[in-house]
Amino acid sequence: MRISGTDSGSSNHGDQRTGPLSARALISGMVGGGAALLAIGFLVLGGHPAYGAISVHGPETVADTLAVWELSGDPDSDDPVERGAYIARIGNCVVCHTADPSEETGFLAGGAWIESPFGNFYGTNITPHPEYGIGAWTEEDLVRSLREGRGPDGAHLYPAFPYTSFTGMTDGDISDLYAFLQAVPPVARENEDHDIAWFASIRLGLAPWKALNFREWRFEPDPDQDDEWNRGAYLTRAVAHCAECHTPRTRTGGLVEDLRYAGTEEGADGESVPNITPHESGIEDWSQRHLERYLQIGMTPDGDFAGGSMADIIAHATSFLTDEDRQAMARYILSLEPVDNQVEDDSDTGEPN
Amino acid sequence: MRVRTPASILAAALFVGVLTAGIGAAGSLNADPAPTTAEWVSPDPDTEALVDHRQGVMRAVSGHMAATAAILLDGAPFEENLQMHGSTLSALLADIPALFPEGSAHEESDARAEIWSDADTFRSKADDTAEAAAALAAATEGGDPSAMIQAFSALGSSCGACHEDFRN
Repeated sequence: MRISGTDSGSSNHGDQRTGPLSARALISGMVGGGAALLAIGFLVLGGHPAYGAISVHGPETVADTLAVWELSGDPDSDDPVERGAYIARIGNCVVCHTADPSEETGFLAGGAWIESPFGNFYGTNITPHPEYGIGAWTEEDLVRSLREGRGPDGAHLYPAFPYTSFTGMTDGDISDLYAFLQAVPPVARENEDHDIAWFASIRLGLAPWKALNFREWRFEPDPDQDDEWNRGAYLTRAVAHCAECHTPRTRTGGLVEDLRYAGTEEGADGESVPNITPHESGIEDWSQRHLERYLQIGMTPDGDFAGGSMADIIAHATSFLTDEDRQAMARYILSLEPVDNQVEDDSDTGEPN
Repeated sequence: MRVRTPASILAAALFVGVLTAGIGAAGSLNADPAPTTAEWVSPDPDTEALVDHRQGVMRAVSGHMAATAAILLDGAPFEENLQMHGSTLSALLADIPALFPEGSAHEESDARAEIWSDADTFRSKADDTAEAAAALAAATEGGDPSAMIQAFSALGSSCGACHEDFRN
């Protein structure tokens, strides 16, 4: 199948099983006694339309959010495009690769940026446009970018593209993702140059960076854990790449391994990123239910609704998790080794104002 | 005086009550009658008072949201309170910009300068939230579970949308 989206303007809502629209459809069939309340709760909140109106940088319109909606994906579909759409969702491709998901610039057509100590990195056009996007890429090219951090010409990619995590993805998921990315509407939008410091602008510098900070790895299930835990581990570590933001970085931009998932006050976009390990300085007092709810609608246990980058990630990625995957991710995260790292709360998870 | 919301009126009334009780307990040495609110509330409250007040309102909002979620989504057996939570949220959120008068930036506050420098956008987002809260209140009147859940989710989204741009 091909995905109808920003360019075609048509709709294929009916195909979606896991998105909010199908949830709404389910609801209409389930409305009734109080007994339905519990079941409905977890279904309906899978990505609310209003969340679609939040983005990292750049303007957007209501029409955009509809196009984005259509691409919720389904991990259990027989169609690789549907499965790939789900991987794209949970991998959070949208937030970095869509500046203005509008009719003008298009879904996944690049242009959002991420601020780092090395400068601003722009998300690239990953629509299948032959000239401006990745339409000329083979599946091998996508595999090389995700697994090795190299472009089709062999050049090293900046790790703002978190191949350090994506390298762990399964062959099947990468193949599905390729099918999906080749099926979205191509958008003729030229990539801009990264706006970065001179010393970072020399790609040759990436070779020693990678030697220092990058290891190719593949997710291997832990035989001592059950399928749910392993699914959560896979999604958290490889696809959703949570550690990339929730871990402090060294001066060269590598992850501080001892503090993996323990948060940082110097996160991307200048944000303070919380410790998500179950330590007193992290989310020790969050239950499984609390974390699932946060991933789904962004509400913290005390009833606060975060802003900042995580609001975008919830809107465009984690709110699309299936119930099973949301449970699995929450369970895995709550099983992490507790790490003591008090992060000053200067941004989105602090006290109400 | 600058009391603007039912919640703050209630708080003021409670405070007067406590004050009155305190005076009573102290015996009859002080023969003066209890002051009225008009007499004891400063006509020109300092910034700290404004910040304390709006943080209190926002904490109240969080509390009502958390309680509503527990009932609506997790089945805490307090359905009869949903209307109260809905109407209270609507009252608390009816005029958010009033909580942030010009000049009420404070080092203890997470309010961003854009609240005042981009007041139109702030007002627009605040209006979205007020509307969403009113819709939740209406949905709790109606009692339809799916309508309440949708309204609750929409209200939460509007909270996050405003925090994103206007809260540190």
